[in-house]
Amino acid sequence: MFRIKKASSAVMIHSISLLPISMSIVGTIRHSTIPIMLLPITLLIAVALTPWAKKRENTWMFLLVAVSGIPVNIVLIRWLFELSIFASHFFLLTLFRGVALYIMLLSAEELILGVVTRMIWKNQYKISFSK
Amino acid sequence: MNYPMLNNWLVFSRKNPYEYDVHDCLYDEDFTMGVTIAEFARKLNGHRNPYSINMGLSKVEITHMLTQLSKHDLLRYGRSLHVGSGAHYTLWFIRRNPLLMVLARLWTVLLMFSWLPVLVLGILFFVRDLPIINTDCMWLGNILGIVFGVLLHELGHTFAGLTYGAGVFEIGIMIDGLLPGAYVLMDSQRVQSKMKRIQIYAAGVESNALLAGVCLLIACAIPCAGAFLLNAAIVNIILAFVNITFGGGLDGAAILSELLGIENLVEDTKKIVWNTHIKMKLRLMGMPGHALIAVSVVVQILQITIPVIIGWNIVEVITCFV
Repeated sequence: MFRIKKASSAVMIHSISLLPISMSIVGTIRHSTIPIMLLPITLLIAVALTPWAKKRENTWMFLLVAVSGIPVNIVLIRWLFELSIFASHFFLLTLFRGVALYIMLLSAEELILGVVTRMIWKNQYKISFSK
Repeated sequence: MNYPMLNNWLVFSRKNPYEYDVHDCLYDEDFTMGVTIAEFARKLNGHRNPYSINMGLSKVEITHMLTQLSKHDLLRYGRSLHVGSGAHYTLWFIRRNPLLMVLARLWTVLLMFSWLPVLVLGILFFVRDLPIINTDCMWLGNILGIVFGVLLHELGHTFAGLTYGAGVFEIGIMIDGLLPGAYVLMDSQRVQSKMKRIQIYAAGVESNALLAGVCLLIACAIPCAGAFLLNAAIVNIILAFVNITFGGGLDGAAILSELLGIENLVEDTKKIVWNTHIKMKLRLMGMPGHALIAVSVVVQILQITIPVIIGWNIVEVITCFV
């Protein structure tokens, strides 16, 4: 896999790593589905091209999904509440449902993209704390 | 079970002509056992009188062996188990046979390829047709949805484990604290392939999704049972979503452990977050270390919020009955 290695390309590397969060913010602000649809691809590109993610692709994918998923998930939950599926007259119950939905969505996204990442990059470092 | 039974989660392998290596899959411990006592112990299946086992041993020797096995907590005298803070009750001691293996393989392949299409089709057909909901029997839908959902969830793990060569020992029900649940006792670390281990952990969630999809499809075909089936489907979708969160002991945490390559996700990330010595060492590693600290913080924040999900689900289930 091609990775950007030159020190002079630092700006480009940081731009690529910020691409998913940018797409996510643009998609949610402009209410456009195309950047959100492209979000998984940009995440994979970011993980593939950044040198510090080498052999640790799943760790970086986890972080990138956690960060770039924030705007999308919030908008999605707001949309679900607007549809009155989960809305309640009690604020506390609405809050509970919002937090629970957010965690469930985040978990699903993390796992789906994590499996895809692991299928692409099979050889990764193992993290051990036995010593 | 009338007689003592050897703990069914012990795996024996011959070390030399005089000894067996024994692996305790429940506590992840290894020890050695003499050939005579090991072969005697393996014959204790709960239905056989130990004194009728024909190994040329005297009554005194058998009593001594039983005492030794009992002293080291290697015997069980019934279906109930007390592990950690929970009380467990075994429903099915799994013993491999050709029919079970064929059934397991069929179910695993069917589940792997059908759960997503069936769920998506179920939701699409249900939204398109929107059958007239009869509000009778909604509570029955909840109860049966939970019972069949939990049953299929555990069977999904069991069949996937059997298919991929994991050590599957038993299925049972449990009460941990105040929460009831079900469990499968298995040793998935025997499976070499990471993706196969992930499939074993994911099979439970896939079973719930499949059941939810089937319920929605049937609800379209039989509208008079719409509310009953819709509730059963919702309960199963909730079960699936709760199980993919990263709480300790849930399937999501096990899958994430495999994906990140961390042996014990909850405990190890806790160490990273709270142990300043480990944190300092990780910071010296540069970017990978910082990434690991960030991952640990996210996982630990999610740990705190898991009770919110459980609380929400309890409230939702209660409101369904009110």
